This record gives sequence, C-alpha cells and structure tokens, in this order.
Amino acid sequence: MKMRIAILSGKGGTGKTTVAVNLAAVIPFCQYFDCDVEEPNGHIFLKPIMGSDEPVLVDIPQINPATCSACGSCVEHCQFNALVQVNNTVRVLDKLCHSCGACAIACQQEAITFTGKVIGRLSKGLSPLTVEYYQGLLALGEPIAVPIIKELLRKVKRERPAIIDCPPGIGCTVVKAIEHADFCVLVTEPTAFGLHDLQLAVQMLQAKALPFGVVINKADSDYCQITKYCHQQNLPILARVYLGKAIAQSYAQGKLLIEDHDFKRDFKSLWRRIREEATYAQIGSN
Amino acid sequence: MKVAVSCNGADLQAPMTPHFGRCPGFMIVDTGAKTSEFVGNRGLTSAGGAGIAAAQQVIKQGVEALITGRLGPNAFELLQEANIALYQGQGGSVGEEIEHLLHGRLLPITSHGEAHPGRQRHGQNG
Repeated sequence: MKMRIAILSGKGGTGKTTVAVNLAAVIPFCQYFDCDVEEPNGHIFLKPIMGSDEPVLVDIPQINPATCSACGSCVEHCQFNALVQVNNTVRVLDKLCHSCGACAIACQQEAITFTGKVIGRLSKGLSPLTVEYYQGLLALGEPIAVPIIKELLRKVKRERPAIIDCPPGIGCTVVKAIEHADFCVLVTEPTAFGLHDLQLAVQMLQAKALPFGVVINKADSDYCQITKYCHQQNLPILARVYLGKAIAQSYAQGKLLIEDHDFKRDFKSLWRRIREEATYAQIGSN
Repeated sequence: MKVAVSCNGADLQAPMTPHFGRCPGFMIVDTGAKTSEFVGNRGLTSAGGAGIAAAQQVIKQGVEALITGRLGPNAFELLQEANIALYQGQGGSVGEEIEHLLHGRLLPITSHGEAHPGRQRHGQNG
C-alpha cells in the first residue's frame, strides 16, 4: 500500500521517533522523513549511510536605495514586521521575513528584488534496513522551519510507503508536515500532559479531516485516562507500548526495538492496523 | 519637544508601563505646545516582531524622546538609529514621567534587555 503516514503527538517526548523509526523498519522499501528539523534524530536508530546534501533557500527582499522613494508602502503591507523604515531608508529584518512577497507587490517604484538565503539543509541516506532516509536540518539561529519541511516533503516518492516523523506540537511545522498525509498516528503517553496535548492534536486532525489512530506509549496498564478519552471520542487505539526499562535501555543505546522478535511482531501488527484503519476511513469517505 | 510614553491608558493620568513591544499604546506629548494624543500600539496584536512594530510607530510619530521600561534588541537598535533619546520610566503616570524628564530626573536606557521569541512558535507546542 502506497501510504504516507504522519507520526505526531502534540506533547513532546511521547515517543514519536521511537514509533516512526521502528515502523519504517518493518515496512518493506519504506521512505522515512525526519521533519523534526530543529533536532532530527531518526538517524541515530536507522543508521543510514548518508549521501547527498543540499541547501534550502528562502527569498528575502532587497531594497534598492536608488529607486526606493521611502513611501513606506512595503512596511505597511508586511504582516510580519520584517520591514522597518528609519530615516528614510527601509531595513529588512530577515529573521522575521516569511518570504510572502507582499512587499514587492506593494512597491510602486519596483525597488524590491529578492535574494536567496540559506536557512538549512536537506540530506538523504540509505539505511541497511532498506529504509530510504531523509532529513531536514534548520540552521542554528534560524527561527522559521516551515520552508525546510516543505522542501523535504517534495522528496516523497508516491509509489512507495512513507513515514513522516513530525515535530512536536500542533503548530505551523506540524500542519505543514501532515499536509499530504493519508493517515496520521498520534503517539501519546498516559499522563495529564499527554492527554491534554492529545486532545489538541485530535482537534487539529479533525479540523483537517484526516483519518488517524492513537498509539499509547509508556502504558502501565490497559485502562488509563487515554483509553477512557479514546473510548468516549470513539478513536481507534492502534497499539500500546508498555513501559519498560529494557525499552529505555535500547533507546539510550540507539537500537531499534524491532531487533527484539516480540517488538518486531508488534510493529508489524501496528502497520497492519494502520492499513485497516486507513481502508475503513477511505470506505467511509466514499 | 515631542515625547512618547509607553502607557496603559489614553490620558496623562494613565500609568506608564515598562513593557514596550506589548504595551497598549503610547501617549505622544508635545511639551512645548502642551498637547497630547494617544496612539494604539500595533505591536500588541502582532504575532511576532512586536517590538519592531512598536518602534516603527514611535519613529513615525517623529518624537525626540521615549520613556519606557525594557527594550528588546531590535527595538533598541532601531530607536537609536532614529536618534530617539531613550529614558527609563519610574512607574508613575504619563504626566509625572514627563515632569521627571523635564527636570532631568530620568536615567537614559543604555542597553537592551532580552529578546522575546514572540507568540508564533514555529517549533514546539504550537
């Protein structure tokens, strides 16, 4: 099945990457995309041999002082306060710029041109487990990650399954990362914070009308506040990963859980569950 | 002399506020003509770059001095570039702060405070 599956959580540290890398490792010829571009860490577990690497550029306006009449129109139209006029010269604050281009449209003097600025890099590798590995990395000090995720996900090949490991939260970066997903997996943990952020993530996915299911990580019992919420909302629980020291140890050593036979079976069954749920969702929507 | 004061209300009795980028607005006081007007702060509602939006408004007003509390790095740099004298308010009303300034009782702001990343968190936690 040629599915694009996004793994997200709301709360950070619930186990998105753990679920994403192990899932990618049991799906034949899978592509894995690490969209947590502030700190991509999927490579620690998938151990890809890295190949090509390319920069990500964004357009930043440049103001030609010879033709600028200091009318202030560009400053007025900038929604991000990235332009400011002091002593009849317009200055660009590149870290606030979202590259929307409104300033150039607003300028009657045609004094604005654009120049590329490198904000990060994309790299690609191949894991020994036949996983094609891709990651984005935001340059240090750069605040805007969305363009990197956008460029990264252009690499998705539609003819093969893809796992999209999202950043934490439900902000712009996550909304961008799930944009073309066919199915979403919400990884959560049985804590008050886990539940709170799960609810936010559920609301976001319902607003986007995307099919999804829940994986409960660090589960210490079969019944908890997460299962209660899922039953109330009629959300499918796809899998549980029970709290265990052995898991933490293997994670700390950079090992995949599926090196253990039982976990391999569990993640294969998670993959099967995802396909089933996605099929139900597809039938439901038709 | 035209002076801007970051404040919580729209008259001279309103308290001066130490927040610059996210203050409700500025009282623009002309000490010579003894006139004043209130200008709402666009920075208050902007997702990011609040200090910059606020600084741009103060600059546009053509004031010679600003009385406020803390300034972020971007706003500090822009206001300095615009040759606006920066003074540390003492927490009184706008009118009192103007009196302090005219009697030379206010200290200049000589360095900026910490940067605030703004409300739009493009990374964690939406």
